[in-house]
Amino acid sequence: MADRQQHGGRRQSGRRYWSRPDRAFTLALLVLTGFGLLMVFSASMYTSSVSSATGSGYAQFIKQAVYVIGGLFVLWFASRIDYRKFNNVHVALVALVITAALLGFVLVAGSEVNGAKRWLAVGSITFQPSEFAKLTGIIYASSIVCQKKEVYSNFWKFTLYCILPMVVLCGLAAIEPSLSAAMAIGFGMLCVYFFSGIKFRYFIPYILLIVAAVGLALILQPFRLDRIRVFMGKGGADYQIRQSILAIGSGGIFGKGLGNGRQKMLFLPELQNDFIFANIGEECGLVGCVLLLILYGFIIYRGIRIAKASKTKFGYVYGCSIMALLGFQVIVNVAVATNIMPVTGMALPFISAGGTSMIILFFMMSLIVNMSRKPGRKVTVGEPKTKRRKRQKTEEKTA
Amino acid sequence: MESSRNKKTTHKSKKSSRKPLAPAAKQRRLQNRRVAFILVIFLILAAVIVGKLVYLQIIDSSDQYARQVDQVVDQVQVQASRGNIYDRNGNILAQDSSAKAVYIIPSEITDEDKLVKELAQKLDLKEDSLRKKAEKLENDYVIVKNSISASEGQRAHALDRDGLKYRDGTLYAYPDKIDDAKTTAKALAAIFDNLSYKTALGYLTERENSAVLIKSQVDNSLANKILKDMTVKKNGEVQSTNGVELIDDSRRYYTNGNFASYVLGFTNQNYQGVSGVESTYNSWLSGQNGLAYLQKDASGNTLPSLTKVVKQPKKGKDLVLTIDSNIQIMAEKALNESIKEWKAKRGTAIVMDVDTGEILAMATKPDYDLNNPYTLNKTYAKNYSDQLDGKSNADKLNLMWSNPAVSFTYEPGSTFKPITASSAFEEGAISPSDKVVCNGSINIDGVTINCTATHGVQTAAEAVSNSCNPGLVQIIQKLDPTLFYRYAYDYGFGKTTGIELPGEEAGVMTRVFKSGNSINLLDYSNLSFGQGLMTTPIQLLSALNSVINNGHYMRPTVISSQNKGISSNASTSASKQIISKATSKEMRQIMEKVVTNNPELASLAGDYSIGGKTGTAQKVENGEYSHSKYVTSFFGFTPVKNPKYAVLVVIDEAQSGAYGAQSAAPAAIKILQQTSDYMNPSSKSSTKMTKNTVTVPDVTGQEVEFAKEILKEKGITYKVDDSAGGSVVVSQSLKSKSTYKSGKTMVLVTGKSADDTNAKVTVPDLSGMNIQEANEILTGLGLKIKVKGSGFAVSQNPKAGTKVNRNSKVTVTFKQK
Repeated sequence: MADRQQHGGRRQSGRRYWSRPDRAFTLALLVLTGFGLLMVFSASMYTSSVSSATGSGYAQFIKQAVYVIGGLFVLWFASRIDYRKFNNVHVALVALVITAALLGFVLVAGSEVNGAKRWLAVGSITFQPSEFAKLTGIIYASSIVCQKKEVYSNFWKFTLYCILPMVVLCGLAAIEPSLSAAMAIGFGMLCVYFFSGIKFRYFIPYILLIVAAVGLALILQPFRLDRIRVFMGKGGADYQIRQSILAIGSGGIFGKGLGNGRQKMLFLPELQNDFIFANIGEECGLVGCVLLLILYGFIIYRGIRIAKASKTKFGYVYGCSIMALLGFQVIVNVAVATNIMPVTGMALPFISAGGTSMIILFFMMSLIVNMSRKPGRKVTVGEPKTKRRKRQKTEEKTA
Repeated sequence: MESSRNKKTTHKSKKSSRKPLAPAAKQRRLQNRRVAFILVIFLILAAVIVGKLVYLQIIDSSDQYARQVDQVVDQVQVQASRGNIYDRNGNILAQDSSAKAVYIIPSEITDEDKLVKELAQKLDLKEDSLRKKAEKLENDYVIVKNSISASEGQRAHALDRDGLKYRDGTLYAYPDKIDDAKTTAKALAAIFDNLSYKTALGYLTERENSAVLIKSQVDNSLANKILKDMTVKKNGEVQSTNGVELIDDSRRYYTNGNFASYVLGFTNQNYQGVSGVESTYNSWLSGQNGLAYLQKDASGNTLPSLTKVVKQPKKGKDLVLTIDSNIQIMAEKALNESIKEWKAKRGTAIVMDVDTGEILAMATKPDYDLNNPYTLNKTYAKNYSDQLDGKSNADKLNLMWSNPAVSFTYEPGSTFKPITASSAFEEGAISPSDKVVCNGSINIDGVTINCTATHGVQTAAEAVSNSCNPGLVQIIQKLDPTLFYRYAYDYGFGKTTGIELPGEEAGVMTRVFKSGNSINLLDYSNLSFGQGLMTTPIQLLSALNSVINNGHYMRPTVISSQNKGISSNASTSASKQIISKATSKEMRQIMEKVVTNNPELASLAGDYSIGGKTGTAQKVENGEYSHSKYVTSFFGFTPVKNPKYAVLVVIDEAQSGAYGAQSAAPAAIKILQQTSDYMNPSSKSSTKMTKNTVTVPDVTGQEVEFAKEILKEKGITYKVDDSAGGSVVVSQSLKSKSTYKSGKTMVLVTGKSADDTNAKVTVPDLSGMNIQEANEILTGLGLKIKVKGSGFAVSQNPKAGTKVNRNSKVTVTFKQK
């Protein structure tokens, strides 16, 4: 690895360069993305082929492939931006304001799909501000906890800088309504505050508040209560859940093989989105599901290790929170698909079809990838030893 | 527990924050613990998920799999192809062929008027029923609105309890169950702000999106024409098919539509035989349907690539009939001519192989088109309008499909006389040579029975051939009624023959005893000439066949013995002998006289050896004899000495005044002549009375070599006398058109033709020759032929005897006999 770093260094000698990123982490991400693309293809080929609008079984797949390529480009580009640049109150505030504005704008000008306004259309490009908010929420929170030391000692400052922005973002997302996005945004930001070491008692009032908010949402939007009733075994079984269970269950231990799933044949509508895990369960079986969970686990483990190794507080809270958010989304998605949890529309990261989510996820990861890269200047062939030593030292510390 | 520990650490960090060195490390420890805490929670949740996955994918897997199979897989039968039906010579009469089933998808119709018009016209269907199918509403749910509250849902549901359902925040509509779409749509628009009346009405009146069958078993070409007519293309790409969808289907195809309709029968839409042998041998022909698993998606579309045939269909067995297509054609043609000539309602002809009872032809005209059996034959409908009026179309069709050869019951009349006579002769009650007297009428118990003529004193045999009613009465009165009935039942009257065709009637043959044991003499006497009993054509033919077949009763059958392992009428019981060979021979001679003594019949029979019996019976209408409606019939057989073929022709309601000899006999005799010619092409002689010879041709004027060829072909021995030189025959020792007796030698004298000098030839008489013969003769003379029509020469121009130049044209007009 060191040799190759030299190699790169020599080519770019005299200019700023970034060393190679953490191989295992990026490789795991690529494997996950590739697998996701495959599953989107498998899940969508039937729907796409029978749809008169697309007419080709590849339509959804090609769209998704474009997103993945876009995401990889974002990863390549953004992982060359020093992540520490985001550790800035001004950047954080601008991001927060833009995000809040977009979330507000979507409520006014967003296009309505299935009774929810989640999409902003700019020309032919559609965009989900709530996905964007997951990223900016965490970046904002991470900057604040690093830059505004008052939040550790003053409850009201904590409320003003940390909780209030979170409530605004979550609230706007919840009005769309996209409860799952609100949950993810809230979870991500709370993780930042939690990991940063803010006193636990500061959280207690807000935990109670969240419980109250969820209760309020259930009262205002009774269909959510129905979902919970369905989940509790009362009322008729939810069609989607029944079909999802059927898909996963019929997959058995080894699955039916890629492309051989039956539930994709319109039984599970929009299978390539929130219920893609059902298709994975059906086609890849228990073995595939567990391997996928292990892959996610590995990425989370590796990401946290990189975050720790960054030796900056910003890197640490940001990286750990992103990884926690990743884990949260995976767990919620899979728990819904397996009927452990009531239905919420949480996407399976890197796998579910969707452009905004894919680009945002890659951007989230690119900061962590950047942490794993070592910056340097004017490296020449004569200097490999120091580089290697430095690297070894880092590894000792993280270990 | 975890949280309390966190609290502790928080306190610690707070305290230590004042110290410069410790806080960073403490802070990090706190952070690590908090991250670890989240990770532990994740691990627990992951364990729960894996646990659930193990449950779903291992323990509950087969259950879920079964449920999925339930909703995805359809088990369907794969139609086995039906066996072919062949005639006795291996010609295909019925076979399966591919066809199309025409469907429409109501939700995809773009131009309803155009579609309905096209389908109505091309498929002969009613417009209003098509319109109904085209406007069929969706019977599955349609999502009207998502994310609504339960109270809104309940309010909507209350609008139409069957048509609107609320479940899990979604309002569903079942368009085919909505009572009043407009009112309901208005009410829905009032409940939901962002639902317009128009949108709501659209959901509530959504049309069916799965295919609705319009007609199955449609000819490929017709179906494709419909699809083409309905397809709208834009830039070469199909935009819409106006809802039309074609699905592969198969149908039964009958080689000749209106041919042996009543014997073959047809199959219904379910591929089951409805009439004829298609019905009686349905299981033989049907084969075994296969089984396939079809996979379908949630909208019910089947996925052809995932169809698995688990059991291959087994083709049905082929069926060979005793019917001979050629004889059948002859019979149908002869019937058509008779019906036309005598303006009869209907005619039936059955040709039987005398020795075996095999039915060579069973024809009824007018019949119906097997390829289009649900269309009422116009001629039939016209002829039987008196019986059909006021009946439903289904009843009319049922009447049309019933096979008169086995189901038409009528009084046989005089054709029954051979039965009476043969029974009496066999029992010795009266001898054929015994005398009976006919005074033009006979009185029985005060009732006068008239005769067609006053025959005076005649033998019993003559009485039969004269068809003398008083004579027959005297014959039957000599016979013990018990014996007569025994014979009548032995001959098969009063019970079905068991022929392998549906709808056979037993006829009526009841004992006419008075109370006690005394006989009703009048009724008994009436039986002698075929009144007071009912029979069917097949029953009477079988009975009369045994009279001429040396007394052997052969059960009639249409199923050839070529079919291996089939159960048929012929195979189920052995033949029985009813009368002796001698009596049978006597009866044959009597029946031969029927033909020879009747100038009309004799001239029809010509030089063929034919015996027979005519019959004319009044139809019974409302329990009384009709004075204007008759059933005329003729039973005939050939040759008399050793009968091979028997035929019965029954004409229903021939023109008033027509007798059996006039209307039925010509057809029957023609059928017999053509059958024997056809069956014995080489030796017509065997069926002809005198002609075991050939006609001598006229070879004068022909080149010698050509004349030799003609004579060789005809089997005439010849000698050439060329002492005079020359190459043209100038005379022949045997007269042309005379009968050549075998063994004689014909001497041809050659010479220089007179025509050689003036280059003129005499046009020969070509009448009666077929095209080939006429061509050979003319070519031999150096003349050219111009053919008009087909069959046998009836006229020519120039006339025979005219002298014409060589190479000139002779126009010959041919006509079918």
